[in-house]
Amino acid sequence: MWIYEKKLEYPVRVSGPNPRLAKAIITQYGGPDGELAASLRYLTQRYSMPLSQAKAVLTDIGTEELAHMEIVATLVYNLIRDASIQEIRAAGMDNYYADHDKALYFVNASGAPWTAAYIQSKGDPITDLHEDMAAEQKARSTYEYLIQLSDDPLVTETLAFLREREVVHYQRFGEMLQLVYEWQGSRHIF
Amino acid sequence: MMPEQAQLLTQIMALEFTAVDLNLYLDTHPDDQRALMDYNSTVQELAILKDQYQRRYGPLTNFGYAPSQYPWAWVNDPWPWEVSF
Amino acid sequence: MPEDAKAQGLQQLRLARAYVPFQVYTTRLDPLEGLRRGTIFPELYMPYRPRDWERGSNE
Repeated sequence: MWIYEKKLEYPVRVSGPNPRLAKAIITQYGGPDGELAASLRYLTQRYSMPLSQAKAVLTDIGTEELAHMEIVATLVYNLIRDASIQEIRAAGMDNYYADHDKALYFVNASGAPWTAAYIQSKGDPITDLHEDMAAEQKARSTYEYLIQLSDDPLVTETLAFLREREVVHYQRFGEMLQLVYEWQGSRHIF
Repeated sequence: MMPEQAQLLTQIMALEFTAVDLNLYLDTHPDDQRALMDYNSTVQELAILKDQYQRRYGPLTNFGYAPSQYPWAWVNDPWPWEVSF
Repeated sequence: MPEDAKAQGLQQLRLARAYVPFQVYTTRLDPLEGLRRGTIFPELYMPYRPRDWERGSNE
């Protein structure tokens, strides 16, 4: 069961319409290292985790990633909401506009739709936790590239928040990896 | 959204974020008594602020977690992506 | 660090594994400051500074 909370995790602010920036940021909505992929990866890997703590970590981080998906959507929505057709065309967002108007859709920065091939669920907890740690690093890199591209200081604040969460999640998955190794060691499985 | 509402909501965000970060820490450190005490006291503070907010501005959560005044206030604007801080 | 000391320090650890040290809880930031930074844990706060990167600095 999930309960919706009618608030964002972080108070998102934007300075004004900026469809060019929106076009880049949308990759964290529906791209390979985006928040939808992160959330679904963790929430589907948790079923085969052998440790109760690992089930908790994946449930909690997977749920937090849903909140990040909403933050990214809020950024994109507010960056294109008041943009004129001229601004959308000048930003190269006319291809997206042709298919979606100003609605939110799960695509990467170059328009490719989201696919389950972005994520893996391997059944081996060591393997899955390595994928999760790599995913956090890939998302951190993406946020750094987006921060480099950002010409809106208010948007940069939100991108920096999301980037820092990747650092914290990496730490938790790293700790979880040690706990799984210890658990396997205590059961004499090598 | 009026400034008072946005300010109260920001305080709720800050406390709930503290709870999220402590929650993740506790997942891998379940025996850390001090972190657990901090988590539990954050839960209490957060409940007080959420109660204040929901009495004034309507439910923050759906599906039975908070009562609503008349008429059903869950449907009221603004939704989270429409709020300006 | 000399190579043999490095090897001794790693003797406890098995090869072909990744290791992330466990966080020890010291202090936490004020809730609003934690929200601003993206973590309440000062030792996990590792901000990105693109200007340093552009200048080619290692910091």
